[in-house]
Amino acid sequence: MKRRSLAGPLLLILIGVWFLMSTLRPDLQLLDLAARFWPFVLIGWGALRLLEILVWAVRGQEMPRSGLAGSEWTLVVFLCLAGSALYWVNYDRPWGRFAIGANSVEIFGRSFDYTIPEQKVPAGKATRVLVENLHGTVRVTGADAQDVTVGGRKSVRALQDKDADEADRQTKVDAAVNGDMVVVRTNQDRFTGRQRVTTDVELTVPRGFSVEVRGRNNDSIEVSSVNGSVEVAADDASVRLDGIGGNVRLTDVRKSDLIRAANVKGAVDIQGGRGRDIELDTIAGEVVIDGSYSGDLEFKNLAKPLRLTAPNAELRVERTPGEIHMDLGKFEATNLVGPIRLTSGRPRDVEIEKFTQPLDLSLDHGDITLRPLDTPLSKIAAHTHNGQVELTLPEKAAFDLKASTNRGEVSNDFGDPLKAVSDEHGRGSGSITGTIGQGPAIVVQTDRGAVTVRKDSGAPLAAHSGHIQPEIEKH
Amino acid sequence: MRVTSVDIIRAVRGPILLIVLGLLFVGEYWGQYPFYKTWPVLLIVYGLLKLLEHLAPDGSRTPAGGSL
Repeated sequence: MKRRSLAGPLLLILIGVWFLMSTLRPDLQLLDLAARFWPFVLIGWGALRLLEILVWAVRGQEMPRSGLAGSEWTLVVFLCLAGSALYWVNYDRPWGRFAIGANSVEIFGRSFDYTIPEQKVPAGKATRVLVENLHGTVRVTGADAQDVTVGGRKSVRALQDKDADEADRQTKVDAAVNGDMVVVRTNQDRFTGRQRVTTDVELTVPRGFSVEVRGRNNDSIEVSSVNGSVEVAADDASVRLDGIGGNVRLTDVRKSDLIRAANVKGAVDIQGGRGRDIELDTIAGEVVIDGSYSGDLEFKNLAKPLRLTAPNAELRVERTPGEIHMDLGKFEATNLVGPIRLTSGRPRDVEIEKFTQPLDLSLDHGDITLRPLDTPLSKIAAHTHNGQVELTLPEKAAFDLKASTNRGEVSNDFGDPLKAVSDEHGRGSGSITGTIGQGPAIVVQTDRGAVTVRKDSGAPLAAHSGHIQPEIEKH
Repeated sequence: MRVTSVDIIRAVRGPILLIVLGLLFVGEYWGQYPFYKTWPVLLIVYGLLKLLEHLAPDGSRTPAGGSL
């Protein structure tokens, strides 16, 4: 009679029961159980085999050549891989946002919430505050107070109360004066356990304070109503600033969904980041942005120069009383004060309405639509390798126009005294030239695409598109 | 058919290694000993069992697999 181990059938029963329970009682968090307890299946299995072999030995039955057959070892390997993967997904994730979905937290443990006891630290001679918080949000608000007040919430994701309590105990929020600085630490780096601790810290500081925030994975960092400067360094954080009296520096925000700053009296300096959106509104100082942003960039009411350096674009605008909206494929602006310089190495359509002072525009690919609106005009130099050019000039402006295409149609909607010249019905080169009064040089050029010059009727820019009335003089 | 101690040791090798493997994972998840530090224990246990096999009085040793 060939002996068979009981381990196989028992294992099958165990797996069956587990699946049955997970369908009948979804509230039992069985994945959690499996993730933590699967090694005991190995032990039980081994123990059962051991027992069987000893019983056989005592009975004097023939021994199997090896206690575990090759196929069983294969199963063991699979079990180890699956169990480790489950445990790893569950407890060992080194990064914060491995989002399997909102339900993952419910499946893999519970969130325990704690309130951070409020602490008041007399500011004394301190003039700034440093907040160190690796995970969670930071909110700093300036107020008419002499103390720095620290409070907030903490959440610990764990399986059991005591694990969560231990994590909470080890990550007490410290606040102390150190020289001219109040230092607030959430001490998540001191915690050695596996539970994930997220601290949402809220501070109220005297209004004159400067603020420095150092984080790592922070959902959001918010600073508002302080008269000092603000400095933020975090690997991954959304930053929202409002009502800042001093300079703003975002030195090391490597990843962000959103950087928003409004009502800043100082300069704004955003260095070396990668992110999605930037919104700047009412900034009194110079704005310097160096980084790569894939979302929407909005600039509104900038009193000093804006300098943006991205991998494929460079922008410089002297002042922005109006607004600029740009994304990866578009640049739209109204009411700018130059000199304006924009170069773009990636396809991008450019539309600028109402601008003064010289404009220098160079595109690799994309349409150019310009409408200076105000007189007297300033020098304009615009060039695209591939795209249409549409220029709308004020009726009474003085200028010296040279608009040309190497291949494409030209249409003079401005009329006299401009002259349109075209080759081969728009398949060759063409140009529109003319001088009115003593005006600046306006040179617009495309290597491939139509060129249109219109007379400004004062209607909004968008109304122009669509009804082109070509007026071409054959050469 | 006589069962020799060599046969027994050889037969229990698999289950014992399995138990040790399970214990190492338990040590990782429930204790302070991560698996990447403790895995050599498996080699040691395997070596010990092999050693025992050699040291044990093997009586009439049947050629491996000959009698199954």
